[in-house]
Amino acid sequence: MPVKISPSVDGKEAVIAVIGRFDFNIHEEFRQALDKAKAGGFTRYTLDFGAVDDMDSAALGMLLLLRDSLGGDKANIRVIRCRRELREMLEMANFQSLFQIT
Amino acid sequence: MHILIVDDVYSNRATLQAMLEKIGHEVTCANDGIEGIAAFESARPDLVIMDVLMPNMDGYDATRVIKQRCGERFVPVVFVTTLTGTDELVRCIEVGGDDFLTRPFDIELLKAKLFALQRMITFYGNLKAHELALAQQNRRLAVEMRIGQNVINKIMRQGITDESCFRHWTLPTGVFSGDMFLAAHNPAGGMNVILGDVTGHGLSAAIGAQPVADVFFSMTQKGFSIGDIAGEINRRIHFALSPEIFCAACLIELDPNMTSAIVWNGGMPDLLVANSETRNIRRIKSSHHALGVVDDEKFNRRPEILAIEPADRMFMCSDGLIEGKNADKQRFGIDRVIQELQGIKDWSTPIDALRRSYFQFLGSASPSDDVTIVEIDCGASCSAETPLISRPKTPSGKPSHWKAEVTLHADSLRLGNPAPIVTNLIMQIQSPFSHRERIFTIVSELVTNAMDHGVLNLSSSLKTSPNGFSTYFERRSEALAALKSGWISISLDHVPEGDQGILTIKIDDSGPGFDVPALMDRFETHSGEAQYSGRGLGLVKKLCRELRFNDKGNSVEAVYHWSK
Repeated sequence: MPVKISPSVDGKEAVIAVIGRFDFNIHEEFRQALDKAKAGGFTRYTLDFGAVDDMDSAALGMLLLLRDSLGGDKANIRVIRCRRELREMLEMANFQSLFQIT
Repeated sequence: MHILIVDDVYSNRATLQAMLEKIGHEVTCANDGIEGIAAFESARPDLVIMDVLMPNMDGYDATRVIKQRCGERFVPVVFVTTLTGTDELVRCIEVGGDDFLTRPFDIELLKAKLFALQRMITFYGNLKAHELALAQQNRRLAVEMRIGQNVINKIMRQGITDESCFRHWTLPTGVFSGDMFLAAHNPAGGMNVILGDVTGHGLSAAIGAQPVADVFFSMTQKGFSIGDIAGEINRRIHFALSPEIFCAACLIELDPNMTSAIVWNGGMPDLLVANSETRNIRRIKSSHHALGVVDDEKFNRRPEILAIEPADRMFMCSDGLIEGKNADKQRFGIDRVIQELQGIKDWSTPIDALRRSYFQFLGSASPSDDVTIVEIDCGASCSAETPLISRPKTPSGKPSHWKAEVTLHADSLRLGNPAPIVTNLIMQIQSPFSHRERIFTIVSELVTNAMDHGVLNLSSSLKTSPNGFSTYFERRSEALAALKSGWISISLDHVPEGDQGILTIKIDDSGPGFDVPALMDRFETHSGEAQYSGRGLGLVKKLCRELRFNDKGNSVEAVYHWSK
């Protein structure tokens, strides 16, 4: 599976990891993972980018979809383990003001 | 199942038929190979049980013909024979048979084989159905892609991207992936340009591209500034489209004389302004969200203003260029683009050089996204004479005659920069939409100058040291907080001249003034660009028809011409 969800130890946080290429081809899986996460009653969300090889603008679109469906400005979403290259892409889109990128 | 029995021996046929009918199958019989083929055609059985040795035509030949005529269907043939030689049995399979039974056989064994073959028929049928559905889906997708492409083609055909000042190159990677380059004249005689990259492919990209082009062309015609255009596109996409659709975009507005450019970059790679003589390269980074990401309230429409000269070339590219990866997964990157531009010898074809270097870098790897590069030659004159889009009607009244004066004293000055208020005042009386950024820059720079070097009497040499800027701003806020007296007076005098308006902005301050000849000298020698201080005034000088200081340097007059 290219998208994995696991709850944190306290069960309040959903960690969504994308594995491999983060592009349009995993749109469906990502959406399903999102639905699952939403149904899980989490209060915090973390996107783990540690296993992302590559990403394109469709991935940025999916991130916006995620943010939007988790409450838009009220959503609490962290992006962790983000390599320099991916970070540059996120910054070019000024996503650092929408997500907490660490 | 409907089963065809082909056997020349009556008793064999009859026993088998009785057996099969007893377990619920429908049976058709034939006497030899030739009859068998005819019965296969007319009865269209699901399965054939075939004897090997028969008069007229044997089972081998009959099977070969039947298998040929099956077409897309899977109709298993089971040989029933008294032959037991390996060669004969192998031949049964070679001619197209799917299984065999040797006589005498056990009825349970036959039932089991029929069951297995039935499973294969079902499996094959499902496979076919999926294949069919997939083919249908693909056809539908191809139609949608084509519709998307048509929409885009129509959008792109508008505008003036074939003007002599533009050179552009697009490398498509198949279906339309959202890169769009549009340009149009504005009523002031200048040009608005956009390079956008809409998320998604095909139809979904086309859906996003449509409002971008719509708003861009209609608001450019009406004379709105690019900040306002960006704001409206953002509002439309955010309001009306799915959250994952957005458009990274770089918008540029060029004045008719090509002396200044207003740039709004949201989510695109750096806009590069390369000087073909000095080889100096300016980078204008993306400082905003892509269009459609944030709601109207959060949207930042504030663009940047640059002074440009004839030797300048502006380069915009889509992220396909810098995200292009070679076999080692390295990115082409913006630094390589800059490096390449610095090394350019033949400035008549810089895009070719970029293109060569890109393909050389990629090597055996293939591009994964559309690549678009646009070059704007600031030295080429852009004829506003024959725009493809008809020259628009002006949105509101002609330039008129008016005058306004504001004087701000120490406590008012502490309230903040008066430039927005003054600019809004001008916009409300006269609404020269496409000039808002330029007028704002002129007022803002001159007021800052009057404030810092006049009323607060700070030295700009502070800014040249390494920590200069922070020291400077510390001193500035201390001085401002302590300010007891002092004033800045702004007077606006607007006179119409035909279709043109001439706006004279005069700013006086209570400060002691500064060394005017030295400043003017610096403009002459450095063209006001690559220095720490005086850069703002250099820009103002370019934006205005005239910029005059009085001898002391505490009164300045900027004359700005505009037309709708």
